[in-house]
Amino acid sequence: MSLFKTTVVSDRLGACLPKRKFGRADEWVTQLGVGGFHVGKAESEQEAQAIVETALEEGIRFFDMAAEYQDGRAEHRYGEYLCPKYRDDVFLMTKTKARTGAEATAEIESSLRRMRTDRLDAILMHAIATVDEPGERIRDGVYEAFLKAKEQGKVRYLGFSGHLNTDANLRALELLGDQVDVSLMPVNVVDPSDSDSFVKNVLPVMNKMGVAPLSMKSAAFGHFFEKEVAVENIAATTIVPGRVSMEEAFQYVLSTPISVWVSGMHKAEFVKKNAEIARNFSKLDDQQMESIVARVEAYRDNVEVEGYRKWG
Amino acid sequence: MYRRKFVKAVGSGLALGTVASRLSFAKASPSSSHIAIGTQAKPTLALDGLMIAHGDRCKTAGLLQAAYDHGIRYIDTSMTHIAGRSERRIGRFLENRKRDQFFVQSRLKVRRKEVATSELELSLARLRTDYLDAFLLDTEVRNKIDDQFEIPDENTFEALIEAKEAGKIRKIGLRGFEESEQLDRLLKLYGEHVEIVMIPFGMGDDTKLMRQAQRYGFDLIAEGDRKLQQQIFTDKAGVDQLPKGLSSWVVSFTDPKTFKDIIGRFDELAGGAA
Repeated sequence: MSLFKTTVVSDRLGACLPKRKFGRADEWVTQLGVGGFHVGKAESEQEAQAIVETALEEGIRFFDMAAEYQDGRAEHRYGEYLCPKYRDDVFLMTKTKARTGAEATAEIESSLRRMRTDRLDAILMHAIATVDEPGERIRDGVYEAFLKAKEQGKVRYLGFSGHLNTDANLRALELLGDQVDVSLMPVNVVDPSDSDSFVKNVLPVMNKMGVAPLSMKSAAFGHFFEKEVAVENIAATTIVPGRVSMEEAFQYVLSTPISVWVSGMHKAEFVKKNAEIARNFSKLDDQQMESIVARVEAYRDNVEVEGYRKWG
Repeated sequence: MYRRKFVKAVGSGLALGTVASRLSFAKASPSSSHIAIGTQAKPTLALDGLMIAHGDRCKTAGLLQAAYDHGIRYIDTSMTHIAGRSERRIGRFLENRKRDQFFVQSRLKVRRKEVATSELELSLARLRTDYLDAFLLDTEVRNKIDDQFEIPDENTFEALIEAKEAGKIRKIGLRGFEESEQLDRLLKLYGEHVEIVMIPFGMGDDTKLMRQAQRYGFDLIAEGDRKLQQQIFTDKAGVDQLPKGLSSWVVSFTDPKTFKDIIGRFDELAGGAA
């Protein structure tokens, strides 16, 4: 089934954003999701609460998170503003950097307690960094702990995230096979021009396997907006809006075969803007997509732009 | 001779593991001893676990081994040193060694009691041990990146009291900051249970703190102010300016080559303070 077939539904909170299929699972998720890091980054508790509530008002029902964000502050904020009132209305995902089964089990428990809930919709091995890492984490029992948590009803879907190199993600997909339900990886307008492209090398494999693809770094952790980068004798400018508009950058992401565009939004006003893009979205054709990618090709393989390529 | 051989191995990046494990046999009884919390009269040194999280795994394994070879057995870390990486690396180091020769201390920053309880389990899992010698609660939840901070629920410390009763922690305590309002509040509530208070190095002379230490009977230990340490260990600070109330100092060793000098200088200063 094509991931672009969307369904428009309403729930007790109002109209949801268009939903897409969550990979091979019998599950539909809103095509825009709230990135957890930026909930923790928000400048105050009030702003964090506004982000969560605006997201719900705008029809977002997918919430990403990770235990390590701001040393637990981000998870704590879901525990304050999301889960107590809205847990049954949303898809909740978190991630763990645990390297052993015992650690994974303990960290899942901490995540549940911080977020004041008794169950997750998805748990991911966080930030697979090298080609050897997926094998090491699996060997040391992390995925076994995930499966046990699933048996105990603490989580429904399992997977991993990775934004450093495609070989690491491909290795994890290969090792886990049909035990991986979901994976989070970078998708943005520069990536397809990279020599090591997630969109070109990893996304098709995930689509073929029926793994739910979640996209991150749609603006390269904000670098598209913030960094004035000079390349190949082109005057320094930001990629957005210097080369492409914000709408184009995000419509491109939504036009790739992903399930959810997970976006980091540290102010409620950004949630409104992005929700509008997701609500009014219609798929770009191949020519439009190629034209957008071509306009930013000169920024390829540049870690100043794609800073996430060097975080370990 | 062994030490020189070891340093050479680190420098040339040779088979570290082999040399190191041979060494730990050879040096079973360290000449200088920093195994646990000392006293005001004879303070001890602890290794700053944050340094273990910086840089690659092999380099920091070398750092731990060098500390061990120099008799340091008191390791201070935190659950949030690089999202658990420090604890994990220390855990790997401890795994194949006799646990009871080390004094392992970790710290947590959480806002609620039930999270503190599960975080302790996480800390034990990362450190690959079934007990901690000391576990400290941050009196404020601070974030290094921004100025935001929150105050933990008043009863959070009770998680530590319960874990101690269950045998999972030997000593419990608090970590305070320059502004001592929260520390004062928690000491009023739980002072009789508090065995260790960690403070910034510059506060080691604070008379109120020293009075509190006496009244409640806790040990005062200081975390490294990295700049100040440099001054102390390069003779720039006068001995008379050093804090008098500390039972242990957490020191940020970063280079195995400097261990001998730093420990020597510390022992000299500690002796002088006595």
